[in-house]
Amino acid sequence: MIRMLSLAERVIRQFLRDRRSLILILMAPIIVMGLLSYLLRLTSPPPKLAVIYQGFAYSDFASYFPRAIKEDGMEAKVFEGDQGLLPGIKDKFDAVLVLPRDFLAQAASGEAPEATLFLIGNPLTATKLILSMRSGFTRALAAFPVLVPEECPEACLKTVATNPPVIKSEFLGLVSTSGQEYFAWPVIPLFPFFMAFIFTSLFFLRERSQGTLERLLASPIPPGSIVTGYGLGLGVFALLQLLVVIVFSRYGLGLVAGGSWFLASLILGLILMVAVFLGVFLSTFARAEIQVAQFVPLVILPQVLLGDIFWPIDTMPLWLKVIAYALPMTHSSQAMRAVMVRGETLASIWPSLVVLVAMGILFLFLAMLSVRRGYEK
Amino acid sequence: MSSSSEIVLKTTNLVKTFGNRQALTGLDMEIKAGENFGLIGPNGSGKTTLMRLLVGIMRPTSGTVEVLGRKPPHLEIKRSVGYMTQGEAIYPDLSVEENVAFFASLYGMPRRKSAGRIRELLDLVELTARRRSLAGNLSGGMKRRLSLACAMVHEPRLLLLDEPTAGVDPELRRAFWKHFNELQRKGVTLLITTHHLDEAVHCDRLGLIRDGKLIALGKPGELLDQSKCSNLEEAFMCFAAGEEPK
Repeated sequence: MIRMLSLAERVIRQFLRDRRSLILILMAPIIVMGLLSYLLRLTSPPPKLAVIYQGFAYSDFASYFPRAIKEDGMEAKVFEGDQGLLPGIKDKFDAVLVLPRDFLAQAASGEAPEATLFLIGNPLTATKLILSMRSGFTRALAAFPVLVPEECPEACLKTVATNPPVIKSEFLGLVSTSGQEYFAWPVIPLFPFFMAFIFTSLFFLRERSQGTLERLLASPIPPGSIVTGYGLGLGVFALLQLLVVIVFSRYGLGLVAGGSWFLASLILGLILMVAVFLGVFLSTFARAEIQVAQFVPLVILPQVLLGDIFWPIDTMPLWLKVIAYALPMTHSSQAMRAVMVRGETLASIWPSLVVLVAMGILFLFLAMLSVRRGYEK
Repeated sequence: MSSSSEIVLKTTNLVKTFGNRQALTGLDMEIKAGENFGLIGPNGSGKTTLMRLLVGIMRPTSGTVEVLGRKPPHLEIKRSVGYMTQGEAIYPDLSVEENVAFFASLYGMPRRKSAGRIRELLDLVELTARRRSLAGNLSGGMKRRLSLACAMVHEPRLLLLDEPTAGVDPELRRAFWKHFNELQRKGVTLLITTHHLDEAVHCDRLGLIRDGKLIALGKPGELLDQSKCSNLEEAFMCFAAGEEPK
């Protein structure tokens, strides 16, 4: 018993002397849970809907419908035209509803009228939007006979109520209508980031503690080559891991890849590079493995929460947006989603790639400067 | 080969501080080509700090360092200097042979050329029979031998050995010194730090260091004469106490 208590006392002493670990053990749950709770309580802006009426944008029904759905917390803007308008307006809305020319006639004849909803962006917003719209539609159509009495004889009054409109939905520019790709592809860069970051931090810490780093620094290999050599070595295993993740995602989970594999590989390669350089840089602030473990709540979890993977950045307040855009994961998840979910090309994702390269260079520079750090203390 | 009058290592008024603590205070010393110089002092006297300044891992707070005519860190210094750190500084998850081969590759030695050199070195440090063993599984003495082999793989002109005999049994220590003397005969300049005063007799010249200060400099015999002591341990204590030579 005394021996066991002595051991426990030793562990307690170790923690008490490692104040940084102690503070982190106490603070990490507060930081992570606070952030998570804040994100969960964030109210999203009302979904924005564009309604394209083919030939009846100036009808009473057309002006009534947006008011009806506004009651459900949505905003709608009316357009007159056809599907040709989609490319020009899709970036400004969460969804575009196209009502065909014969929509009112179908309703008047007692058939269930058909409309097409083109969903853009986050499937979570889209799902909310569909649900809201169904109730808006019901209310609008309930008023329909009053609004356009000449098109609705007495007979249709009953049929309208029993035949609500059929809304065919499709994800505009998304590779799948299930929406799982929307979250799955941006999650994939997390794997190389996490692995490369943690392993680099641990390996570099070991290089320091076993004295081999001192020897490396005394040899003709430049600090930049030490850091990039680590990146290459870990890259082999990160790629192997990615291969497993991608094959499982594709054939095990049935994820649809909607864009260039080359661009996806480029994004993953860049996030790997950023993680390695960041790992080397931050490893200089750790004196023991336990301190590397502290990087998980401090470095990895914020990337998961704020990296535009699950919580859309658009819904965040400015201060959180600034933090989110300073995180490498945000740029890799946005680029990955653009390429593999929306099938976009280099022409649209290059800004994200430039940011990742810039972050890579910055962390490489900091890593090179910090390699010798520790000997100067 | 370097001429014996060539100065391969020179420090002038070298100061290194860490925060408020002064690790080296105005160190002046010179080592000539082909010399076997022993830097002797207790733990914490500044020996390792000096070594790190010489290889360019640290920068001086003030004063100058010159190694092979250049200011560290310099690529030419890194190519020509072999550095054995105080710790083992070997990779425990690589085999004995792989460790030496890795350090050979850092010096740009082609694999074919280094293979012969590695065999030769492993023979020299008597690790041939364990060449395929993981370095982590070696005994303490074997690890020191491997560390020495790694420091010498590129046939350096100047060897900086930081406490190479610390924690080594007397038999191995004797073997180490025999080998250092052989290297010296081949023209290699050696700077060896130690806190074993009995090892000082193997060196051409000695620097006695304490609290970052060089308290005496000279040949072993000269230091004994100056201190009028019968052995270097007593001489060190005299110099350390700041006593005037008797």
